[in-house]
Amino acid sequence: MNSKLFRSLVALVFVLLAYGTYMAMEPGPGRVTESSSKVRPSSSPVTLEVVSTSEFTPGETAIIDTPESGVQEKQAISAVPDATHVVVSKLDNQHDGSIQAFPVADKVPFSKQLTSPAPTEASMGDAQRIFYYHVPAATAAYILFFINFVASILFVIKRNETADIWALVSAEVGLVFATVVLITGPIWGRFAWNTWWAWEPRLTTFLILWLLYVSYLVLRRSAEAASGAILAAALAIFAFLDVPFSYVANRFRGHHPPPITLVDPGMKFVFMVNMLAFLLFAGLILWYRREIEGVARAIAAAHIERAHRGVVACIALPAMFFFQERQNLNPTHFMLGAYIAAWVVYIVYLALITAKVSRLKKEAAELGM
Amino acid sequence: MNTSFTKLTAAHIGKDMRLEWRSRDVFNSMLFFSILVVVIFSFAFEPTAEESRRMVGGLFWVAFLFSTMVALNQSWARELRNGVLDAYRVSPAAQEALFFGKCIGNFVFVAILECLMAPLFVLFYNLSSVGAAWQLVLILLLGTWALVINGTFFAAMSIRTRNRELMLPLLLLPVSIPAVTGMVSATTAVLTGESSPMTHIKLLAAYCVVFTAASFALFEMVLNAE
Repeated sequence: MNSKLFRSLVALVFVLLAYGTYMAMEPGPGRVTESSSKVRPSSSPVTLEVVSTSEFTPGETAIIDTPESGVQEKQAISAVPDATHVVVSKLDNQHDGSIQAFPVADKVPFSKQLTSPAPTEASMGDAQRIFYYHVPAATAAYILFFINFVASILFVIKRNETADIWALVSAEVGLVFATVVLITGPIWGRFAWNTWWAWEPRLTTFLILWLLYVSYLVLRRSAEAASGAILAAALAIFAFLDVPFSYVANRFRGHHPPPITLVDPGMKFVFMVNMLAFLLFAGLILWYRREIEGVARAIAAAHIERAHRGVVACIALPAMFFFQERQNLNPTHFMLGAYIAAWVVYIVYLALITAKVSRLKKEAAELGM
Repeated sequence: MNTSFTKLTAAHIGKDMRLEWRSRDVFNSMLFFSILVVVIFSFAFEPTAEESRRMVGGLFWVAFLFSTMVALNQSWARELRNGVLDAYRVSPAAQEALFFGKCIGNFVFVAILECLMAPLFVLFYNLSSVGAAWQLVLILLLGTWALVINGTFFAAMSIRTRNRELMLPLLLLPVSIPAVTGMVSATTAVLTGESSPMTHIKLLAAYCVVFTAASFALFEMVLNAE
C-alpha cells in the first residue's frame, strides 16, 4: 500500500466528514414551515398559512407535505400576498393534519447548496439531525455484513486466506458501525417516541444482527485459527439466513414509527454528503483493518482481540442518564449526545486498532522483519 | 437416500438410545432442570389463570430451550471420549448420517421431556386452552425440530472450540431468537385464542426447512474443520 496515497485518502475522508458534520449540525435557513389548516383538493388557487414567506418566491415550486398520512405533492407558487401566506395554483390531494410547505427553487445553484446547511426539521428540531449520521452508519453496517457473507461463501468454496481476512475484518468493522446505530437510535427514539426502545421489527432485527456478529467474533476468538475460520464461515451463513426470519417473526410486534421523509432538497443534499462521507470512512477503516490483519498473519502472531465493544457500551450507556428528565427535552442535547456517543465508538475502535499496529511493529522488530 | 444411509442413521440413533437407557444421565438432568424452571417461574410470578395463558408460552419454550442445551452439550461430548469422533471422520461412512442420527435422538429426548412436562405446566399454571388445542401438537413438533436441528449443529461447532460448553449458548441463542419468537407467539395465540397461529406456524415450518438444509450442507465442513 502506497503510504502517500493512503495519507491523502485519509485526509480527504476526514475533510469530507468534517464538512458533512458542519452541514448536518449547523442550523440552516429555517425553510420548513408548518400550518395546521386542513385543505381539500381544488383546481383553483389555494392559500396556505406558513410561518414565514421569506424563502417563497412566486413562479417557483413548493412541496406540500402531510407527514401523518404521507401525502405529498409539488405545486407552483402563484403569489405571496403577505408575510404568513402563500398561494399555490392548485391542490391535487386532500391534506389532513399538519401541513409542511417547502419552497423549492427550480434551479438551486450548486454553489448555494454547497454552502447552505440542513434546515431544521419542524416537529423534531435538532434531534432530527441524528438521522444524518445514524442512517449512514446503518447502511455501512449492512454493506459490511453483506461483504462478510459474500467473503464467507467464497471461503467455503475456495478456502483461500484472503476471503477469510475480508470476512473477519468486515464483521468487526461492521459491528462497530452497528454499535453506533444501536446507541444513536435510542437517543433519537427517546426524543421522538418518548421511549428508548420499541420492540419493532427493524430495531429488533438490527439488535439480533448485532448479537449474531458479536457471537461471530466470540467464536473467532475462542477457536483455533485454522478451524475457527471454517466454523466462522458456517456461522456467517447461518447469520445471514437468520435475518429475514427475525424480520418476519417480529412483524406483528409494536407499531412501526413513521419513516422520516426527506422532502427538502437541502436536507437531501446534506444527507447524501454524509452518506458518502461515512461510507468512505467505513471503507477506509476496513482497508486499514485489513492491512493490519494481513501484517498480523504475516508475522503469525497470535492475537487475542480485546472485547472492546463491551467497554464502549459501558462508557456510552451512563450517558443516557443525562437525558432522563421528562420535561423540557432539548433536541439539541439529544443531537449532541448522539453525536458524541457515535464518535466515542469510532475513536475508541480506531485507538484500539492503532494500538494493535504499534504492538505488531514491536513484534515485527523483535522478529527482525 | 440409500439403504446404507438409513441403516447408518438407525445405528446412530440406536446407540444413543441404548447409552441413554443404561445411564439416563442426560434425561434425568434435563427433566429435573425443567421441573426446577417451572417451579421457580411459578414462585416468581404467581400468575392467575388469565395471566398465565399469556405467559406460559414464553415460560414453556424458555424452559425447553435451556434444558435442550443440557442435552446437546452431552450428546457430542460423549463422542469425544476415546477419540470416537476422530474415528468417524476417518471412516468412509456418510457423515450426514451421524448428524441426522444425533438430531433424531435429541428430538426424541426433548419430545419425551415435553410430553412429561406439559401436564406439569397445566397443573401449576391452571391452564386451559381457548383456541384449538390440536394446533399445539403441530407447534410442539415444529418448534422442537427448530431447536434441535440448530442446536445439534452448533453443539458440533462448539465442541471444536476451546471453551466447549460455554460456547453453545453464545452461538445458539442469537440464531434461535426468530424461532423462539415464532414458537412463543404461536403458543400464546392458541392458548389465548385471540389471533390465528397459522402465520407463526408457517414461519416455523419455513425456518425448519431452511436451517435443516443449511445444517446438512455445512455439517461435513464443520466436522472436519482443522
